[in-house]
Amino acid sequence: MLTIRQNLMETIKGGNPDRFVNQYEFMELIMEAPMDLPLAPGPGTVVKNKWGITFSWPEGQIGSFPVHDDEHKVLKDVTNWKESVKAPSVFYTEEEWAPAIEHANSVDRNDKFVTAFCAPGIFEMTHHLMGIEDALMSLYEEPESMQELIDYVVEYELAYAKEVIDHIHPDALFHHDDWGSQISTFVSPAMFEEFLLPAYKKVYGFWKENGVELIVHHSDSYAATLVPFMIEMGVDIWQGAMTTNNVPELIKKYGGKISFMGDIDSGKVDHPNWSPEEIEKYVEIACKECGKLYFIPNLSQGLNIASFPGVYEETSAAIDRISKKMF
Amino acid sequence: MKNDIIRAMEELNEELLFHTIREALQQGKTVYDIQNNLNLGLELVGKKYETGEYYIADLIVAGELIKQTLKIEGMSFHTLNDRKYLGKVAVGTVFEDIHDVGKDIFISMLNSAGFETIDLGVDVSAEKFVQVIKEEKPDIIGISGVLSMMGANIKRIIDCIDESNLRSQVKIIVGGASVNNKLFEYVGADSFTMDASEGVNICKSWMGIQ
Ligand code: B12
Repeated sequence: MLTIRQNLMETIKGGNPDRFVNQYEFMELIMEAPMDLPLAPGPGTVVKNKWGITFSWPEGQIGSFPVHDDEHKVLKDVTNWKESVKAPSVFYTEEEWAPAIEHANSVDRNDKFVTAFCAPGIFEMTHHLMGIEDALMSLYEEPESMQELIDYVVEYELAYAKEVIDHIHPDALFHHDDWGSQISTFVSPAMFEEFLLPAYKKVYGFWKENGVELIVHHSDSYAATLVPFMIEMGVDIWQGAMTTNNVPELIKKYGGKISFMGDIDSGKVDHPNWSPEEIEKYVEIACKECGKLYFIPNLSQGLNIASFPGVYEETSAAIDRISKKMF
Repeated sequence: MKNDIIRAMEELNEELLFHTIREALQQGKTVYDIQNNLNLGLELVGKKYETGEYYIADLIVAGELIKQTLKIEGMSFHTLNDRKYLGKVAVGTVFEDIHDVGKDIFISMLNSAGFETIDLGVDVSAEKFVQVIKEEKPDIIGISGVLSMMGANIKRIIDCIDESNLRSQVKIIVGGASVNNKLFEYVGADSFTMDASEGVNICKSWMGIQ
């Protein structure tokens, strides 16, 4: 039997995997790494992160979100971004790094990928600072300022990447940036190519030059039209590929250059009335239609969790069962 | 036939749009006609989005353009005595949900079609919907729900309107990514759609137009 790592490599290189890669199993996420997370930690909390962005998670709601009323919006006028936006320091004490280093050292790298985690993404950072409507409008109306702001975020990402690389020497990177809704991308491919492709080429290029073998990008959305750019920027696996993308067709078209992780939409199976039968059904459809290569069956959610207890584990169990049938 | 206003709107050409609107006003075209053209243009924008030619950013730009055109001297509906709004629609995002991109697009499209709108914002409670019906007497209530678990909350709003004996006074349309046939039947609204421009057409038909 192949190790988890070998099985992943066989799957994405078009070799001979001996089972499906099961969801996030190949990524050992080092979440202890000090980072400036874009969220409020729990229900009933409000926090301001190091960029000055306020995140709120009201009691009874399902998650946290950036607050953009007049009082809390960090960036009100993008042409003034230099005055309003100050990137925080990327330096943390050795003490702060210690738990992450210990976790990374405990991982058998022959079996799994020590994986660094990065969120928010570059586009997400712009809309956390100014609200999504302003961020999108500014790409049209103030392209120069937006370009400068994006460059500034890239500088920050590169500086942080250097710290992570120096401390835990990751084998893989799991990087978030949602680029669309279920049926459309936020911006046109042309605009994406102009603003985000160069930014990500720099960021993902840097991780790769520094020993990272695998870039996994999360966007649980429609993004089929952006796949050529993902390939160009160095993404090895697109996580969050929803069914609206027609994943089987993408595999036919781009398999070998990039792999797809998802095709089981969280929205369809991860709800209060979830059932093993329903999960089994969607897992089976995904695995049968997508096949054994360049595909990792997975819930579209951007971490190895689900909204409702038991759904993630049941999905893994269903994938194991279908592996036995298909391999 | 596509005139310049329709084309400028469809192409999201701000300069041309403003120019052609000012020209039309000077030539004595009514605000109603111009709004109609804008709305036709906006419908074409919506179609281009549906077919993948336009993106979410384009919908937002279109909405912003509509807002700007309403500020052009002489363009606002209530400056006209001879023409009334098609109807009044109060729109809000269901409580516990803060997504408003789609809701705002729907509101822009309503404005451009000639509706008076009340934007209730996001995370809107059932009580607030009830209050706005009592105080503002809208013809239509629009509820947006993007998170997939919003069914029970949308139902709660509609039940609350019902319990306040106001259900017969308003038509209710629900929309947003969470909405589907099953949810629609469960919550007891009058109509649903995931497409804002279709939503506007439904509102129009309720007001007896077309
Ligand atoms: C942008 C975004 C955000 C932005 C929202 C900014 C804003 N001002 O709205 C921010 C970053 C703030 C955000 C926050 C959160 N989000 Co969010 N977000 C998205 C994202 C990427 C896109 C949504 C969007 O704008 N779509 C574009 C618009 C145009 O589409 P639309 O809303 O469907 O509207 C169209 C139609 O439906 C219709 N329409 C809409 N409303 C109405 C109403 C009527 C009456 C009518 C007729 C028509 C109509 O008109 C529009 C055009 O046709 C989606 C990803 C995805 N895959 O969809 C996640 C997503 C919706 N978010 C999600 C989540 C979980 C969250 C958070 C909880 C964050 C978190 N911790 O994960 C918080 C929300 C907290 C809360 N209480 O609501 C999940 C929902 C999962 C689920 N099971 O429901 C998604 C699917 C991402 C994911 N898979 O994790 N989010």
